[in-house]
Amino acid sequence: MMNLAHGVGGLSIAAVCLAFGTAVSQDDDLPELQNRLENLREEFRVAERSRFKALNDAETPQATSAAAAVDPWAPLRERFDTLAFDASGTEVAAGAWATICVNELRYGTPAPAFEAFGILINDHPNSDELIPVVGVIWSAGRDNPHTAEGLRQLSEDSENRDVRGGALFGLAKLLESADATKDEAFEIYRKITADYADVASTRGSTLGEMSAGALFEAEHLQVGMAVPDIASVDETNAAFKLSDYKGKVVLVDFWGFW
Amino acid sequence: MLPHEKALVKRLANDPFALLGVNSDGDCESVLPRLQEEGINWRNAIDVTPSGDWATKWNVQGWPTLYLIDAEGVIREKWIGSPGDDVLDQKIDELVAEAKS
Repeated sequence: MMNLAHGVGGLSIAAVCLAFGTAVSQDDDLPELQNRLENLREEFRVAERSRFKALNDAETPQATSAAAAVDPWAPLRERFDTLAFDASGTEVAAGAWATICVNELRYGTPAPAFEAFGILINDHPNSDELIPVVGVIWSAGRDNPHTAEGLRQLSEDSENRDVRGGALFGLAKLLESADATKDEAFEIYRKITADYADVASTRGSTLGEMSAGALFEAEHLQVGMAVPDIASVDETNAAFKLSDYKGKVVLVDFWGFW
Repeated sequence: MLPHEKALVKRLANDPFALLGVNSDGDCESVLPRLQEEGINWRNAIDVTPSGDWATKWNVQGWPTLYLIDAEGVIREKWIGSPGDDVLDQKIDELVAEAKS
């Protein structure tokens, strides 16, 4: 009885596949596809780590540019593409498209990134895989007029609250980059601090903190404004304030060795 | 950045100027030895991570981000990424001259 039902289910799924002409997978294939995605992602992580290590170890400017020129994404691009098609319609496809989108932006070209973003919006608007995508797609947004539209659509229609919040934040970042749309950006930051303050950002802080930061920078950190105070501890664990330095010219340098 | 900053601090040691780092590499215990190793003798606020309190409050998204504050406490320049050693020297010298006049 169970076998028969399963067989019928399998058939009907196969029929749907044929009807749409796409490679929608049967449930049985999902674990295998999931494995392929995890293995590919691990392969890519290893390639990226070895690039970072080469960058860190480089001792001459020539060695640095040679290490920077290595593209860890290029050898894996096609295999992620194939997987996205093989797994079409499943969460695995969402993962593959998300990986493609983020890394085409980082190492490749905008066109395939935007294509992947379009597929994610249409087929996977509720997937957690969209979270890192909306965290970066805005940075290339001025090159493609559909980015703002896509982010707006996700911020309204996704059933995933983290995706809605992230898309709204990305939209604000994008709008903030042009003078004509700055005011709308600040309105959105205020909306985020009210509605999505607790959503984690891809940076480790929350969207509420990031949005508050954007508003604070606009209102208090522009050239010509009185600098807000900083109270912190220094490397010897001694407390101090920026205002202790009044009467001196101060160069404040946010930096790290990394 | 670092070699130029060392030169800057040395050159303006007797002038009304201070370089103040806001470092995002870790806590005091881990950062102090690295500062000493590198011969960094100016003060650093310990912000612990790139999403530390001050980097987050000041909306810092790129490193280095630099703010140049005059002796009256007014923000006079702001750079995301270094503007280059020459520009830094010139702007700082202008403000130091202003502070001394």
